[in-house]
Amino acid sequence: MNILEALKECFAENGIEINDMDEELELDSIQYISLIVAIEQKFEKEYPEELLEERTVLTFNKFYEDVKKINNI
Amino acid sequence: MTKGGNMKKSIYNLYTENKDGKRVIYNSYTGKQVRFEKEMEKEYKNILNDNFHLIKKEHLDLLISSGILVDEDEFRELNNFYNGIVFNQDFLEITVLPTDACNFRCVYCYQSGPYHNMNSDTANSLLVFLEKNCRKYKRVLLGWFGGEPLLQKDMVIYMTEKAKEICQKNGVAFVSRMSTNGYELDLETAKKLVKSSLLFYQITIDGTKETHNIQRPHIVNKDSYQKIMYNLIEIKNNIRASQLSIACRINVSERNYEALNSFLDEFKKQFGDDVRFKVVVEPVHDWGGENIEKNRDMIIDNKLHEIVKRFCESAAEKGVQVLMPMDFGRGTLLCEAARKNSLVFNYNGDLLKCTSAIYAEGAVRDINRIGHIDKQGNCHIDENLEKQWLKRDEDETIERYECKDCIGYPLCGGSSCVLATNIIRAGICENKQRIADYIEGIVVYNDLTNNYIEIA
Repeated sequence: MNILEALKECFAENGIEINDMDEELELDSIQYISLIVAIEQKFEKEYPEELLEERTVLTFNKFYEDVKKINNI
Repeated sequence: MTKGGNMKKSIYNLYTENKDGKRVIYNSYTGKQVRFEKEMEKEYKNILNDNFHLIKKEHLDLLISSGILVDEDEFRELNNFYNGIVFNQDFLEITVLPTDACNFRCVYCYQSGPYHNMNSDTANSLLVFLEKNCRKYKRVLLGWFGGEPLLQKDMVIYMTEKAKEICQKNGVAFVSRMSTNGYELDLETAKKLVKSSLLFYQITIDGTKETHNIQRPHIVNKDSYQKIMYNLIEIKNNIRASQLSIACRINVSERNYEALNSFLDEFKKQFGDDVRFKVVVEPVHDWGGENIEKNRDMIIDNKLHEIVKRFCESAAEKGVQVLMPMDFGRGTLLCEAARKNSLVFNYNGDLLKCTSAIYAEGAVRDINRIGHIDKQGNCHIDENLEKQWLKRDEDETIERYECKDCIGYPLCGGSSCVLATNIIRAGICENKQRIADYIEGIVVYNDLTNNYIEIA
């Protein structure tokens, strides 16, 4: 599975547009939760608590780095 | 926020002390709490006496960032914020009652028979409605209520799955939640529901096995407690979804408040190592109906304040997580009925605003039924009826004097129960004291879990 493309699908399913992968995302709680769930289901891995707690600035690249860690890449 | 000449104390500060006599200020607007070491008594008094120029700069910065000192009109800001919530066009909230039947006979319940189920035509019309309309929104929250919604398990599973598919296809964020007694929430059911993003569960367990089984009897099984706990333990051990959230609510009464500690001990033992499980306390009160008339003696009156505080204290000491209003952001206690894009779909296709008023009679019943959904998925809403539930006109700022100085206002926006304050027009906020009690409990909990800023 191409991780980058799969992650972009997760974002698209939740109506989150990515113009710039380093742009700070404005997500409300429902979008955030829905996105985490989509990522967990797409990659069949649970999002680790320590990565969830790091949510200071959210960007596409932050999620991309998380997903790579989760998949041991 | 600037440190201008208009600086003043927030009107939403609670000034209190912890059990060691240290001064504490909690701000319900930000949810932040500041604790003063005993040698900082002078700094505390500088705040009380408005001597802000005497406060050390580093402390002043903390007090401003925590919202304890402000230089804006907080009430007006909050009003604008709540207008934004009430008339938000990005968010659709649907609560569905697939049945009003229940397999429990809780002694305080306001609901009663005869019972009805949603038919497949009505269920389908709801999905058609979603298909036609969801792309107008950025996010959809689907709630399941009842009766006991899992008595219509297949329908709930099917509809949640389809609703999620529809939203995903249209690029709309989707999350679902449920209030359930937990009896039918076995592991296989939970797996299917969580897969469809039904992540938030409120399950009531009224204390220990003994007190729960008395207050919340199942229609045939004398020990519903055991089944519910078994289900929850299975879910905890077998479902690995980080966003799953299980709030175990305890309805506290004269008949079970002495069991609160034992309840927390058991909760700690079974779920204490899982952050997804939290507790929340709610006093039994008059939700309406005939049952509570026969059981008025169970309503706690003058010691509720202490019970909530002791509950939060005990939970903190045992390391049990308490569900906090700010866990879901400001406005958590703003009733769904006060929001424009929030609808209740009754089993028969009626569109309502309030689940508590389902069994109301006369004018209240009529005002609650704001419309109907047809087989083509079109919602026909009487806007005049709907308007009565929206506490604000979009272009006006309403100052409700009894709300303005209430410490609960940042949590509820003056709309914690629209049925009571706007529709029944009692003119009195029934939740004022309860919210104030809850806030005091939060302060105790924060203090014991080191969730505060220290001024030392």
